[in-house]
Amino acid sequence: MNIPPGLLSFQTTRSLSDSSDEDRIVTELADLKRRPDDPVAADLAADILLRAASPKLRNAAALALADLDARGKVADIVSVLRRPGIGRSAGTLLFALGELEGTLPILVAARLIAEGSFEARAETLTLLEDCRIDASEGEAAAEEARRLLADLASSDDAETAEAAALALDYITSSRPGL
Amino acid sequence: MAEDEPRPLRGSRMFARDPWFGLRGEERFDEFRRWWHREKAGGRDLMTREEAYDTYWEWRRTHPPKPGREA
Repeated sequence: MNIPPGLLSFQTTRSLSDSSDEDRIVTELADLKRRPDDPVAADLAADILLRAASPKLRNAAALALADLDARGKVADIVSVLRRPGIGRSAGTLLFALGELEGTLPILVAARLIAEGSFEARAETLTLLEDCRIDASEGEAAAEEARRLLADLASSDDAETAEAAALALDYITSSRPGL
Repeated sequence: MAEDEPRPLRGSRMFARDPWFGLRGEERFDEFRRWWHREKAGGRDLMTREEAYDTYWEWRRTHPPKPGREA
């Protein structure tokens, strides 16, 4: 595969010279969907997703993975969603995860409800509603998530309380044992 | 109120089981959601319910249904 010049430059330098650079890379990431049979395309998008500091680039990379139906890269999206502070710019990452039919670890979901933007909460709740919960990290993680959500459900902030209560409802109805 | 003027926010518990807190019940929501994720500038999230509603209504005003599609 001939790597598009903006992506190649970012891969090499890990930096952007200005916003036009960023726009160019976003366009090139969107164009990757024209190469669905090229395994390098998904590797390239995942590399940008994991290394970019810019939410705009991360979003574009996650959407490129969704367009490429790169289900093998779901773990990379989840890995980014585990980062502290990501909840303020996680909406499109969660949307892409849903497009790829991925699952969200239950404790990551609880933290996104706790700290996320309106959009991140909405996309998290959409995944929970669709039973896209991963509870494989053990009972301790599930219990911590449940406790966090229960605390939030009595928060003074109405939107937080409502989102947490809804998340608990979805989790309880889809996984009665949790 | 004209059809496409922004409506007041709905009651906060009116759609208690809607992950988008009522917005998902609006017309063409799925189309709006796809547009928002794929075409929004700047890579930033909708931070509040009010911003989400405002953005939805602005999108609806500027993106009328395509001819032949149901509104």
